[in-house]
Amino acid sequence: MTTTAERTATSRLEAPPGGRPRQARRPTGGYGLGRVALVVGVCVLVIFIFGPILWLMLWAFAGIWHYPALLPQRWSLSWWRQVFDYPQLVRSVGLSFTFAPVVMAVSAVVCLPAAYALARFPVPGRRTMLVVLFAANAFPKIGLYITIAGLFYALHLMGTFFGVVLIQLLGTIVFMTWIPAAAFASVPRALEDAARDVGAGRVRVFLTVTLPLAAPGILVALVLSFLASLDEAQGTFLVGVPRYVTMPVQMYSLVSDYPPQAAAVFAVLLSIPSVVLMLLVRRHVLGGSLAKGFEIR
Amino acid sequence: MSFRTGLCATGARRPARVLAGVLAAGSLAAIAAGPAGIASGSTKAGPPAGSITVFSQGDVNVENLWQKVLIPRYEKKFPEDRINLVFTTNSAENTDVYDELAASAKAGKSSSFDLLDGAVPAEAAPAGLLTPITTSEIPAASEVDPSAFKVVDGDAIPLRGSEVLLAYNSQAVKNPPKTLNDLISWIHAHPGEFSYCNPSDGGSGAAFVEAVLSKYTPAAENLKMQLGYSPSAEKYWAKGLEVLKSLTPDVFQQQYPNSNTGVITLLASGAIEMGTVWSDQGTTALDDGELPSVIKLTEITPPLEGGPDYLGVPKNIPQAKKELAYQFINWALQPDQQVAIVRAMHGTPAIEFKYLPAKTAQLFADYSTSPELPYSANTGADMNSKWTSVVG
Amino acid sequence: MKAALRRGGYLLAASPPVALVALFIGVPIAVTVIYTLGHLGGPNAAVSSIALHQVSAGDRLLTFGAYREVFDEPNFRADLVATVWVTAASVGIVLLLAWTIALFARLSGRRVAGILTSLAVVPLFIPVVIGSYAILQFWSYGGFMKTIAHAVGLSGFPALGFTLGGVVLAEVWVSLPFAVLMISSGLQAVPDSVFEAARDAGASTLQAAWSILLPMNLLPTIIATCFTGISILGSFTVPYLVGPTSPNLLGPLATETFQSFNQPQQAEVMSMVIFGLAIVVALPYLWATYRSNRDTATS
Repeated sequence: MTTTAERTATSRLEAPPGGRPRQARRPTGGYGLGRVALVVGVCVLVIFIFGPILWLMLWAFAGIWHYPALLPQRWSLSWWRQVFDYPQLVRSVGLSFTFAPVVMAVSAVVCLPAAYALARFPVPGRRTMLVVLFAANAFPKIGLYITIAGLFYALHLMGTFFGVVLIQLLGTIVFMTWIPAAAFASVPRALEDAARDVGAGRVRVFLTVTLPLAAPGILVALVLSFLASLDEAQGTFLVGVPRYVTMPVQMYSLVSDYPPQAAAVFAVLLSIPSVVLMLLVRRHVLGGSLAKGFEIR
Repeated sequence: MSFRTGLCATGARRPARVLAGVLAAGSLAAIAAGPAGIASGSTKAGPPAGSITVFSQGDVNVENLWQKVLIPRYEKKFPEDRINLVFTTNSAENTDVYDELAASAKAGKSSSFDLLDGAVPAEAAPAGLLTPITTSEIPAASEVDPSAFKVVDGDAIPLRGSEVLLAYNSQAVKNPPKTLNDLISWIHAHPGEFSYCNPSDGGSGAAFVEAVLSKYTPAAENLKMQLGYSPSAEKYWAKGLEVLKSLTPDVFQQQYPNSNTGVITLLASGAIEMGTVWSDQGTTALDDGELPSVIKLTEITPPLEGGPDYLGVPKNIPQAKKELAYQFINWALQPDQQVAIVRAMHGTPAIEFKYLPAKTAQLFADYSTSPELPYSANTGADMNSKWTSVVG
Repeated sequence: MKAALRRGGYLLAASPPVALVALFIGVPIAVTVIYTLGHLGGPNAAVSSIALHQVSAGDRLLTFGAYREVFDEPNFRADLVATVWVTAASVGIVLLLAWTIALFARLSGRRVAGILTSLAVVPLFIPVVIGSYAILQFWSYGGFMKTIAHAVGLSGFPALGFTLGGVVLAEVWVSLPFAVLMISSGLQAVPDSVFEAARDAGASTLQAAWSILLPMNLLPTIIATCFTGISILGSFTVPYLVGPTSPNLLGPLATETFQSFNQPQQAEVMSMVIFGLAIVVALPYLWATYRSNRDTATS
């Protein structure tokens, strides 16, 4: 059923599956020069992006390292032992990876139906809604936390699991609504109609036609909200402390209170899951779904 | 033991306390519902008859002090008794405990804690929420420097102490400054070689700022600002702020690190030759090799801010619990325990040095027993604000 | 009647995100606004009972006293200027880098494109606090850049830790992925035939990029500008960890004013100023989407 059409739709979001893509001509003005510039550029970019992370990794294994030595004077694993001996650090990693999927799921439940409605139905005031979401996102969080605290106390949300989920959720709503809305909107109605013509019900059409075609956009939104939850520190500190100290909250205190080695070890540990996640979803994030999601239509 | 030590928490304590205060004031409902997360950590089953519940807040090393030093030693000495420790590293939780104390006192109910350690006692004592300390109940209290009782109206008793010292590179600096005036001239004479941290971000910086401000403030006015909030006395700060401002061109990179640790890192990398650090934090860093051994710690006159970490006994608990708490305090102030605490924490002892074994007392030969008192929370907030506006 | 009912149904389905945002962001914003205008009671009573140096409207409808007080502070004005220029510089560099990367990726083979964009997207997956700390260690005194410079005899190389330059570097690092994703996906959508046509007409690559790609890719560029600008204006972690004591950005100043100075009202005034700047940055975006909507509507 509609495989050709499906592929056409997908190819707009991602690269064509298999086969060599058409290649644009190389830049004019000297094959060699362009290549040299490219190599130099890539090298600078690699140093700029990865240098700090690699440097921190060295610190994680440094026993003693005083400037201006290029490498640590003494290597040591003792900080790794210290970090693993410190139950709160390990616990914070567990907490972060509990909150992130929960926030992602709740955000999906709250936002995806709305995204579908905004994309498919003539919702009254829909553009206003999208702009309101945007404006709320632009207000600096520090200003909000002071008053949000009062609200959360009144609602008995302070220090609760749900309170933390809620405060992290607030940061995910914009893209969890916008990006999937654009993804749903880009699914050609003709495809849905065709499926309905051959007798498929509304739900079935949604599950077999609409959802798979919108999946790349939804996936990007899910990844972004997962990362947003993983990254959120200030709100979580405000609401979750002392019971819910997540990785980034812990990292703040490590960075300001401990020697660089301890912070480096923890940073390296924290980066591992993120890198795994990145390798898993890189291809989808690099697709074109992101740009579409930010055009308010 | 290597994770950063003890009273350095004082550095973070001031801002955190203010923040927590603002937030917690948000609701009495939350207080009535009981402090979140606190009860959960305490007991599994009902505690045995001879037990007390202790609340403590600090860094990991404070937790280790309780778990690995105090509790095992105490329960060995008093096999019938048990200590239930409720510990948190988070200073914001002090406010929850404080609120619980206040709420239970108001309702005439017994507090859930029998002994308090950390920042709470110093706040709760002036509010009249603690039981006065007397030498008839705690004989060892007589060995504590009497001035330590002043700030807490005699309602709390020190367990251990820490103070801010001058750390310097002994290779580069042969004759370290002995007084605050010497230090100020030294900074001007050696541009780029000194650093203290932003007072908003660390107590070791706040101590230096307070010392300079106090220098130009009449002692009586200064004491008012240490014991309470006295905005009218802040006018005396003008001169001190000018002096601090004149130092900015001569401090390292004309910038101020944003934590106590920031100064340690600069000392370790050799970027600076001198800086202010917490005694316990500096000693630990030296032990770990984080600071090279050429770094030495010294006290200047007048001594920089520092002070004891107090123990307090809530007012509204059964007499039997009070007696157990007294027994613990009296035990903890014995020289043996004080030496163990000093060893574990690299802090200063609570009892006067003359009561310590000579060998331990010698460690503190250069230390003052009565460092400058820290400014109160609100005075500190104004000091940070003025410093940022004029100096930072 | 039935139509109205259906419209209501749509509204209901679409409303949960907006409702959530209205309750937990909209209401606090409203409370914030009245607090900065001198209303210390009601929902602000709890905060104001503890705060220092507040300005009260008293019996008047409102007062701008708190705003005046904040703007009278030279320190705040210096930070305001720093915020504006750091934001402008960072956004400028991010756009330049993102365009270069996206253009190279678009014009070269698929493998190079993949490598380039993958590289640039990495910071998206590193928590900001770790990224900032890593950048601080890398560029500051005793860091990699200083050490290398020292090794090759450049002892005068500046240490960028705790400087506004360092903040710009770190903000660029953090913001690059989003801008690259935005702009490169916009460029990928430009058909090859457009290039060919431009090339056939004798345009150089740069000319083609400037005259054809930029207009075609204007909306993604504006979106990247706007979102990068807003996130930098309100950023806290990067300037707090990497920046100098003073002048620094308004984000850390507002936080410090609240937490360390115990002056929440003044902190809220600063938040309002950041919000005001954010709205200015957002105007081109709102205008562009409005225009593109109108165009699609008429075409």
